[in-house]
Amino acid sequence: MRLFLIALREFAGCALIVSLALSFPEAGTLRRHFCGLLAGVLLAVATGLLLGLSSYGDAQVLALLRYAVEASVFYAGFALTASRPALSLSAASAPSPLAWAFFGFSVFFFEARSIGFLTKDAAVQNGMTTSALSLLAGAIIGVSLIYPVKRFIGRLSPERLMSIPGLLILAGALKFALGGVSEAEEAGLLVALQKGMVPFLEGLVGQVQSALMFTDYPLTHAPFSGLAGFLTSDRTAMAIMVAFAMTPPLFMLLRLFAMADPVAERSGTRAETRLEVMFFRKEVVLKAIPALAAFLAILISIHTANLALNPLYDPAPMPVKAASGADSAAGGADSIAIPIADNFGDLTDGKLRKYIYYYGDKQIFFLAVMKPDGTLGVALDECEICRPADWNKSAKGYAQGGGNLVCKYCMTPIATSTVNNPGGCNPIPLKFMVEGRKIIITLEDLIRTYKAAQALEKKGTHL
Amino acid sequence: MTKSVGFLSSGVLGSALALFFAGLYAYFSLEGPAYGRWEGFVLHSPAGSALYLLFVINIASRVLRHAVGRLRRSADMAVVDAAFMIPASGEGGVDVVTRTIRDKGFVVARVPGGVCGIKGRYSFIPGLLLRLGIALFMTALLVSANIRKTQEVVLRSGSQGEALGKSVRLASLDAGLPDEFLDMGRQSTFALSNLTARLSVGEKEINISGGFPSEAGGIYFRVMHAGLHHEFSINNGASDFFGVGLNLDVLPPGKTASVEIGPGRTTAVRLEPERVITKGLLTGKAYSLRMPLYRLSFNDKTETVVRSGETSTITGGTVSIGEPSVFVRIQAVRDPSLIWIYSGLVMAILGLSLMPLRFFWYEKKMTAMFKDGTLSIGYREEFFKKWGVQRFLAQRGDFVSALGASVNEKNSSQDEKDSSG
Repeated sequence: MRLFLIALREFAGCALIVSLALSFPEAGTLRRHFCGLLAGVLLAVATGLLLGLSSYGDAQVLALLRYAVEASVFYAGFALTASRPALSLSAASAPSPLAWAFFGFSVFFFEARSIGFLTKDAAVQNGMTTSALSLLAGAIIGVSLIYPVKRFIGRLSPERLMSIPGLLILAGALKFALGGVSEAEEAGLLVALQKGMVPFLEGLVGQVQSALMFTDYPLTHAPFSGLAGFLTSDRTAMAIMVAFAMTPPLFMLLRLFAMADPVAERSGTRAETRLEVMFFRKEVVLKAIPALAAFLAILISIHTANLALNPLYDPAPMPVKAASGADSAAGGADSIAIPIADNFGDLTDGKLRKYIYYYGDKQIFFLAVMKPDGTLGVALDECEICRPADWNKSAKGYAQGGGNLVCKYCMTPIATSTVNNPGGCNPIPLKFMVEGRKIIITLEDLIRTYKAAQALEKKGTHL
Repeated sequence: MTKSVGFLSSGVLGSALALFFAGLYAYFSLEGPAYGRWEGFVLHSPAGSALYLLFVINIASRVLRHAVGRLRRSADMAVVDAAFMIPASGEGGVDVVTRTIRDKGFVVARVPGGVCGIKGRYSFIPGLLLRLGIALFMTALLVSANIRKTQEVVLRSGSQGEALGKSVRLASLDAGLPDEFLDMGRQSTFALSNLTARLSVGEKEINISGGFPSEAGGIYFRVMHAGLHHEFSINNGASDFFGVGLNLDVLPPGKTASVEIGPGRTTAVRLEPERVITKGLLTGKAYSLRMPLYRLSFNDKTETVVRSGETSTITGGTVSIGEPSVFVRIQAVRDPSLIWIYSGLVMAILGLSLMPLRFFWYEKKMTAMFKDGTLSIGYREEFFKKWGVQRFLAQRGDFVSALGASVNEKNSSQDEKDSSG
C-alpha cells in the first residue's frame, strides 16, 4: 500500500508537469513533437526504474544531478526571457522534438529511479511480485491524470496562456515543490542550496577577511567583524536562496507588465483604440498566469524549506518519580527533584527540557527552561487558551524555536523571559523551588495545578 | 579582433564560467567540506587561475564596452523604444527640433543626419565603479593568494625580533588590560579592543593594534593575540635552581597553557578565579589580571595555586612567579597587492552605494533624423520603458506645434520681404 501511494503521488506530480507541456499547442497536436515528449517520458521511466532496481549509481551524485537538471529547466525559462529584447505576445516557434524529449526525460527520470529503489527495498519484505504490482498500479493511475488535467487546461485557452519561457519556469517551480521522493532521498534543491550556501559563505567571507588582514581572532576583533558575521549567517543564505528562486518568475512578470500599450498611431476611433488596449492588457495578464503560478509554487517551497531547516525543538519528555516524604527534599512533603545538570544534559545550556509524571492513569507533562536572566522557568506543558482536540495531541504544548517557546497549536512565539508569568499564551506556571543544584516541585503543587488546568478545559475556555 | 573582443565580453562566456565554478564547488562538496579544495583549484592551479582570470576579463571588458558605447553619440533609429514621423524640411527644422529637445532638458548634439539629445549620459558610472571594483578586487586576490608572505612574531615591550627579513622592536605596549575581569555564562566575552603598541621597523615607527593593519617598509603589521609573560623560578633544593621567562597563553581567562618550567617538567597553567559568583543558574568567575592567580597542574598529578609575585610549595621544592607583563603576537604580511585589494573593495562599495541612484538616474535618449522631407523622432529609455514611451508619445504635439510655428514664422518673414520688395 505504501509503495502504491508513493508511486501514485510521484507519478501524478510528474504527470501534472507533462500535462502542462502537452497543453502547449505544438506539443499537443504536432505528431513529432508529441512523439518526442512521449519518447522522453518512456525512456526516463524505463532507465530510471532499471537504475533504481539495480541500485546503480551513487545517491549523492544522482541528487546533485537532479538539482542541476531542475535548476537548468527553471533557469532556461529565465535565460529565454532575458535574451529577448522584449517579450512578444505572439506565439514563438516551438522547440524541436529532441528538446521535448529532454524535457519529458528530466521530469520523470529521477522520480522513477527513486521509486525503483524503493520497490527493490519493499520487495525484501513483500516479495518482488507484490511490490511490482503496487508500483505499476500507482504509476498507471498517477500518469493517467495527464488526460483530465490536459482537458481542463484545454478549456482555459492554453495557446493564450502558455509560452515556452512560462512553461519552463512553471515546470521548474513545480519540480522544486514536488521533486524528489522524500522517502528515498534528501530534501529538495532549495534546502540543499541553503545548507550548502552557509559553508560556502563562511569560506568566502573568511578568505576575504584573511586577504584584507581582517581575520577575527579570539582577543582582537577585526573591523567589520559584525558584518562578516551577518554575511555568514543563515539569514543571508536564506536571502540568497530566495533571490535564486524568485528571480525568474519576477523577471518575467516585470518584462510582461513593462510592455507598452499598442502605439498611438491609430486611424480608428477612440473606442476602437481603447478596445485594442484592453485586449492587449488581457493578453498580458493571461501570459503572466504561468509566472504567477510559479511564484506561488516557489513561495510554498521556500516556506517548506524554511520549516525543514529551522525545525522546532521539541524534546521527548523524561519520566520523573516523586520521592516519598522521608527522602524528599521538600520538608517532608512528597516531591519531585530534578537535577539542573546530569547525564541527560544541563539546563544552563538554555535548551527546553520536558518531563512526564504518571498520576494514576493520567500523564502530567511539564517543562523547564533557563530564562535569559539566568533564573529558571518551570510550567505545565499546556496553554490556558489553546486546547487542541484529543485527536490532535501532537499540537499540544510547547516547542522551542530560537530563543522563544512556541505554542505548537497556534505557533505563537512566547519570550522565554515570560515563563512563570500566568495568563496569555504563557504556559501554566508551576510552583517550584531551587535547592542546591536541584529543582524541587512538591507533588501537591503539581497535581493541584494540573487539576486546575483540567477544570479550565472542561469549562470550555479554549479556542 | 572585434570578434575576439565580442566573445571575451559576452554574457554567454561569463555565464558559462560562473556555472562552471558553481558546478565545480558542487562536485567538490560530494566529498566533504568543499571550500578549501575549490579555492585551491581556482586560485592556485594554473587551469583554475586561467579560467578565473578569463572571468575577470569578461566582467571588466563587458562593463568597459558598455561604457564606451554609452559615451559615443549615435542616432541609431533601429534601437528606439518608440518613434513617430512628422512631415518637415531639414532647413530651419533642425534648429527648431534642437531647441525643442533642449527645452525638454536633454543635452543635444548634432549627428550626421539629425540631432541626438541625451539625459543621464553618465549614469553608467555607479555600475562601472561597482564592476570594475569587483574585477580589481578579484585580480588582486589572485595575485595575493600566490605571492603573499606571512610571519608571526611574538614580542614584549622593549623586546626585539625579526619579521620577514626586517628587524622589529616593540617600543611600547598598552594592552588595555582591566585590573579585574568578570566572566559570566558559557562563552567568554573577554577582548582587548583598546590594545595599542608602538613598533619600530628599521628606522620607522608605527602604531599597531588589533584593528586595521599598519604598514612600514612594505610590510603590514597587525596584533593577533596577547598573553601574559612571567619569570618562573623553580627551586628543588639549595643546589638545584631553574629560572625561565615564559609566555603564558592563558587569555581569555579559562584557557589552559602547557609550558615547560624545568627539565622534563611540563605543567598546565591557567588563571584561577579570585571568586565565583552565582546568579540563578549562571555562574560568574572574577579574575585578577593585575596580580593574577594561577593554578599549576603538573604531570605527576599534583596541583598548586600561586599568585604572581609569590612563592608556592610543589613536590620537592617551590615555585615562584614574577610580576606579569604582556606579550603580543603580531602578524606580519608582505603583499604588494594588498593595497589593490583594498582599492578594489572601496571602489566596489562606492559603486554599490551609488546604485540606488539608478532608480532616478538613467539614460534617456531622443533622436531626430531628417530624411526625404520627413522628420523621424525616436525615443529610448534605459529603464521604465512603458512609462517613458507613454510620456514620449504624448509629446508629439510639442514637435508638431513647434515645427508648425517655425513654418508660419518663415512664411510671415518671406511675406514681409515680398511686400517690402
